Amino acid sequence: MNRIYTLCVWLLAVGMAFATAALDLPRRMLGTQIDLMTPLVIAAALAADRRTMIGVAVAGGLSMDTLSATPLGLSVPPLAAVGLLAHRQLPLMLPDQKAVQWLLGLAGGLLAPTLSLLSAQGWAYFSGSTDPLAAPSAAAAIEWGWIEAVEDRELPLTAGWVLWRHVPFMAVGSAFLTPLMYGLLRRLGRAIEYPLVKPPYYRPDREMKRGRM
Amino acid sequence: MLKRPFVAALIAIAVLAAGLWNLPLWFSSPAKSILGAGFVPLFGLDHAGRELADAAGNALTPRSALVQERDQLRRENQTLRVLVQEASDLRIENERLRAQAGFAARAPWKLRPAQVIGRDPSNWWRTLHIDAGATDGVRVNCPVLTPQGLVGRVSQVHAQRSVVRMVGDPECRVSALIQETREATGILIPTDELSDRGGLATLTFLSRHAALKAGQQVITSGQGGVYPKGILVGRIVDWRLADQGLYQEARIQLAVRQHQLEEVWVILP
Repeated sequence: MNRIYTLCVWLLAVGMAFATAALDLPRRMLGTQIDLMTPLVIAAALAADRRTMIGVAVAGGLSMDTLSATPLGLSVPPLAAVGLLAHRQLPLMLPDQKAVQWLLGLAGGLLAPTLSLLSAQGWAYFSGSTDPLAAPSAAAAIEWGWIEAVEDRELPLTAGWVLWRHVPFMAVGSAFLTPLMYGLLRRLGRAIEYPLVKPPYYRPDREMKRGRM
Repeated sequence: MLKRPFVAALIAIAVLAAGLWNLPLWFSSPAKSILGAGFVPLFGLDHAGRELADAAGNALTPRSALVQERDQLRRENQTLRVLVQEASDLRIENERLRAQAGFAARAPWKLRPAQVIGRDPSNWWRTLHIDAGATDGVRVNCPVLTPQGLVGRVSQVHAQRSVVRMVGDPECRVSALIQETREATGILIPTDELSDRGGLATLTFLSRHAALKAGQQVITSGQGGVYPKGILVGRIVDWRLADQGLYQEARIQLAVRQHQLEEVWVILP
């Protein structure tokens, strides 16, 4: 991995954070914004070295937090943890296989938002904050489907299912986007990096000596 | 242990995270502003791209559709002119009666239109980025609305852009009352949302004796000093007794479709 490639991937992470903020088509259609950063981190874990991958998590996480109401730095550890776990298992996997990328994207897409939510709530709890995702909303988030009959009207089961309902959508989105991100990083690598020098087919010990019979 | 790169990387990330989380507000808020300034050219590019796409779309719109829309807008304009005449009469009457009663005159709103240029990339918050900032006179806590109703309030102001927290965000609490009865005042807090019909919020701490009905309009109460009184927030969907019958809480269908906002109005101080 050369430095230009690493720098390009980090800039791509910043661009992906901006795209998540600027493109609201998925949110209009599904009611949930699709996470672009988790598939990029997993793709970087599969296609790049550890330094590049951690840089993606840090640059992408900080960019997301800058554009979001999330406290600065809160998105970095979940992304880095997911990337490190994927990168650690790399020798045991076939990263070029689409199924592997899909499954890793699904698992990462479940794990990263869950860690983000839990760390946001933990941060709010330990910092004594009463606002960001704290007491009322956090309690409501964990409280799955309270239901109570009021004058023959029942609140639907979806009530109280506030934040966690986004996680399955994000996981499926991440599963489908990870192979695309992996392909993108591979193409970027081929465009920027020096091509591999193949071993020459000419071998002097196999040369047929021609002479007079 | 530190010879193992995986563990070393995990520890480094944990230390970095602990350092970032413990940043004081006086440091983290300007740091966010400085980092956010790097995205201003990208927002500009995005805006220019959208305008170009709109212009291309306008060029392709058939003339018959444009004429039809013009006629519809003319009719709407005439209806609104009549309503404005009625409203101006009511305003004059209201001012006269307020003067007779010794009440202070209501200051007219100073409105500034703004375009929505981005949304919160995470799903945990309901915030918007708008293209009006400190140079346009926007300040923190300025109310933001549309002709349909209340959107929220400005929470961060940068030079050229601002961040708006919408109703239903954990950090945007609104004091509101039922328009019909005028007796029940409560606080709007987040709740689940209906993706197809717009958002929902919960109006809580309503009196247990308040007569609630589905469809009643909810407006801002003016208490708290952030939002002027009388801005439409939404309508009651259903309600229940909460906290062992101490008070009531109602789910409110918000008047504004938050997913489809493109333009908003900021009330300047």
